[in-house]
Amino acid sequence: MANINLKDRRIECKIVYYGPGRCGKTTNLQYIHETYKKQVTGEMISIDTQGDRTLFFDFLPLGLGKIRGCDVKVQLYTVPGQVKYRSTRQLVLRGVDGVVFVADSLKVRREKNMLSLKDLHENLKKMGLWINKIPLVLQYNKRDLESEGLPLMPVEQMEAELNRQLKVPSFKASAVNGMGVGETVNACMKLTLRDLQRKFKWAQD
Amino acid sequence: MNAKSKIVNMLKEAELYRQQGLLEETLQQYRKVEKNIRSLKNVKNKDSLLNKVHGTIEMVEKELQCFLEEQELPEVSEEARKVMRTMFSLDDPEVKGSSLLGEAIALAGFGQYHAAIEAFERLLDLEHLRMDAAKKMIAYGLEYKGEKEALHMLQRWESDNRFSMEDRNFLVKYMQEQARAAKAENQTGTAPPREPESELRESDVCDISAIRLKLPKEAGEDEKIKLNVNFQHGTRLNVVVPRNKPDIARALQTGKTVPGVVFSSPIGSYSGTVYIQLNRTIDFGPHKGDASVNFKILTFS
Repeated sequence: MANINLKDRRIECKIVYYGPGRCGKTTNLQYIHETYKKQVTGEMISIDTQGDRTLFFDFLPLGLGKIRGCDVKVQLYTVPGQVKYRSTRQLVLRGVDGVVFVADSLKVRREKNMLSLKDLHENLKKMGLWINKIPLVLQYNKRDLESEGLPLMPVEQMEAELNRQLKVPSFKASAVNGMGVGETVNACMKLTLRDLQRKFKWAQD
Repeated sequence: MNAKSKIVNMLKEAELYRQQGLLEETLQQYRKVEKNIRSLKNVKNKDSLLNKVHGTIEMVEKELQCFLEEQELPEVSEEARKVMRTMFSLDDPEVKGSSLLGEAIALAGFGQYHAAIEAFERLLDLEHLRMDAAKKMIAYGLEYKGEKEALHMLQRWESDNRFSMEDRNFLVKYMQEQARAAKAENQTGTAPPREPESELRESDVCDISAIRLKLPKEAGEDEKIKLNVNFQHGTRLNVVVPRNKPDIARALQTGKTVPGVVFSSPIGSYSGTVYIQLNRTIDFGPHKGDASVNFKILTFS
């Protein structure tokens, strides 16, 4: 849950990167950490990874400066994507204000994307949140792998399978070289802040 | 594309999956390569190629096995635990010491069992949090280490004068209820029926596009029904039964073995037996309301 202090005009909200294992959630955060130096207000924390797999979570704090009279801070988190770390995902998801769902564009990962989106839906439900109410954006990652000769799903197919009912903003991305990373996080932050404005009326006219 | 370049491309694809850390997909791709090489005729170094691919398959299999067998999260450094405690502790500012309770709960949530138990242990000194901490210790003891551990805790508290007789009786009851609930969950939960063994190797089965099978009599279908294969992983098939065919979905019960199945593939038809591993209703996405049914092929000829 966002920390909103209207007296001091301060807002702190939490955005979680969700998605199947190895889809590129940590790579998104790493790219933001390296590229948006002005906005990054602290070190990126990655707790214990095994090889390249996230076992617990990654954390990156951002400061967006003053927005409509409020000092806005955003905390970005990633969850471990492997199916077996469900309880860790639930813990990291606690208090979430916005979600970026990173889907893997590789054809062979089609089912894993669907299962992970379902897992997100269920975990949100456990916290009394509804997937089509929470600020959410989709990212279709690893588009660069097409040039390596790997079979990818067309964006239209991913839209039909993952976003047909949700109808949320979606972005093609290649987190490894930064394509679409900024657009994704910006869109999620906008949706999240708009949602918080609707709930808490924090912005000055 | 000739056979050689096809295999080179398939190998490249397998290696790219491996670089991506996608072990299951790597394995599947190498198995396809192996199958392809086997089917080649008049290849000089066929045996040495097969040996190499087989070696890689074994290596990836081991890697995947290790990964799948890791159940517990590792214990992390004190510095990392500090981050977990501070970032995920939920405390009530009105209650003195509750932040410590919130921190201990966060540690337990991240699988840091020993650190969490130590943190709860310290809270036993605070009268207003003692019973909450003790309950959490019992619950986590049961969850992570089993009934023996929880009983051991209760035994230690028998001679601990921080707990009154009433407290101890309450905790014993609490432990019994928790243990009972856990057992009931295990029994009624998703414990699958024992799966029949199959001697088929993945390479024994070709790509299957559809299956035809006869449903049990109670489903009211006399004819064989045709189901398109949604995806295949070696000897495992998945089909989606549309929501407007509830009788078919109901008849394909988890745990049933279905003989006389016809498998259609681009190169011909085969027959055999399948075992229904899972039948669940899809409750999200474009197939919401449809049934997703997983089959394991037991015989194939």
